[in-house]
Amino acid sequence: MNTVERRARRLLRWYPRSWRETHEVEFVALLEDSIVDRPFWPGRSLNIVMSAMRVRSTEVRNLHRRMLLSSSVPLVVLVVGIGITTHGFGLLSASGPTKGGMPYNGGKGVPYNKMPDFLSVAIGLNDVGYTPKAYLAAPDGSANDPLLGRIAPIFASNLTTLLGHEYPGIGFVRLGSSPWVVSCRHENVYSETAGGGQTVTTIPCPSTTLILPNVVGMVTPSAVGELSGLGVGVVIQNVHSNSVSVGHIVSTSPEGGTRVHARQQVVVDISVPR
Amino acid sequence: MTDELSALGRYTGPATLVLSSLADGPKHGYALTKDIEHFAGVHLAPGTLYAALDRLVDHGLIEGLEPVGRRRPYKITALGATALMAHLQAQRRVTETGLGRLSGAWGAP
Repeated sequence: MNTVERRARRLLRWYPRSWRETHEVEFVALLEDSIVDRPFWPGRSLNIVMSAMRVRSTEVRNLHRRMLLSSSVPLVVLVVGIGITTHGFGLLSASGPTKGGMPYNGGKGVPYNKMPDFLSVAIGLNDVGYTPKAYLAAPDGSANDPLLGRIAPIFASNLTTLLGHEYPGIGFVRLGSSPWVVSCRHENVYSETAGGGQTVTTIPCPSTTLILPNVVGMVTPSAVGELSGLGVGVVIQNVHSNSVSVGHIVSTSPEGGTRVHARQQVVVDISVPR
Repeated sequence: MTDELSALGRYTGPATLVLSSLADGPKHGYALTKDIEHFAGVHLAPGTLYAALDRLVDHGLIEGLEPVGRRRPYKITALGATALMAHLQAQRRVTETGLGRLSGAWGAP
């Protein structure tokens, strides 16, 4: 190992193990480039220590929440069946036995082996999504883990925290921020098991149909968020409009109310300045 | 207008720089810092850069691609592009107002 790599690896060690596992290779490469570029930069080490501490403090917070979560008595079941509270991902239940909504069972836990591979999840009326059940499994994959027996009753807000942070960027798909669903490219997701092994989860794209909502007049981020949350591919087109103010949606093709395939492309015209 | 970038708090600045840099194509970490240095004159330290990347990925505004060698390129998503556009348009109003008033009251160009 050369001096530069040794320096880079020493800096990397400030980060917690879970972070290193996902970022190690690319981050060490960046640090090496940075060290070669600017060998004397005291602010760099300080910056890394501070950033790493922030990651660690977030992890501690999440662990704390997770412990609260696993010890809680049955709460409200927010992992729901299709069509009860959701419009978009509710459709998943129609697309096969390996994915779909969780049946409501009166707030009792659902055994791991009875869960569908994918869980529909609702947070309120507007935030819907789905998550592979692998992300709810115990680290050792055991179905007898005490945590698993209590998995079904989950506060959706905790679920977001649990999955969104513990597995950054993967896991629970929040309405309006779903890069997977928009592009439908992320098919395999890798996660580490406690034994150092790797599990692979395949995430299928939604495959049924839905009624396109009318987003004309909405501001761009909300409209694109709503459409991508439903699973359709959004193609943005800039247009000039006399009647629709800048940043708002002028029209979509196909238009709202049309039945489309969940993965269909929808062209969205956005009003931009002349 | 919803401004997703401003919601990132202390990461708004780095996130805006990262999204602006990715707007013309995917780049890995080092290419990002060099590009940002070039167009903004800001040298993002590695810790700050990765904190911003983590958050942008979390929010679905960028996504990591398959690594090329040891370096993983990141790509802006459609959502990221619209969020950046909304943020920059809001910033432009501030910039134009500030410059306009400066030139009126202080005779700046």
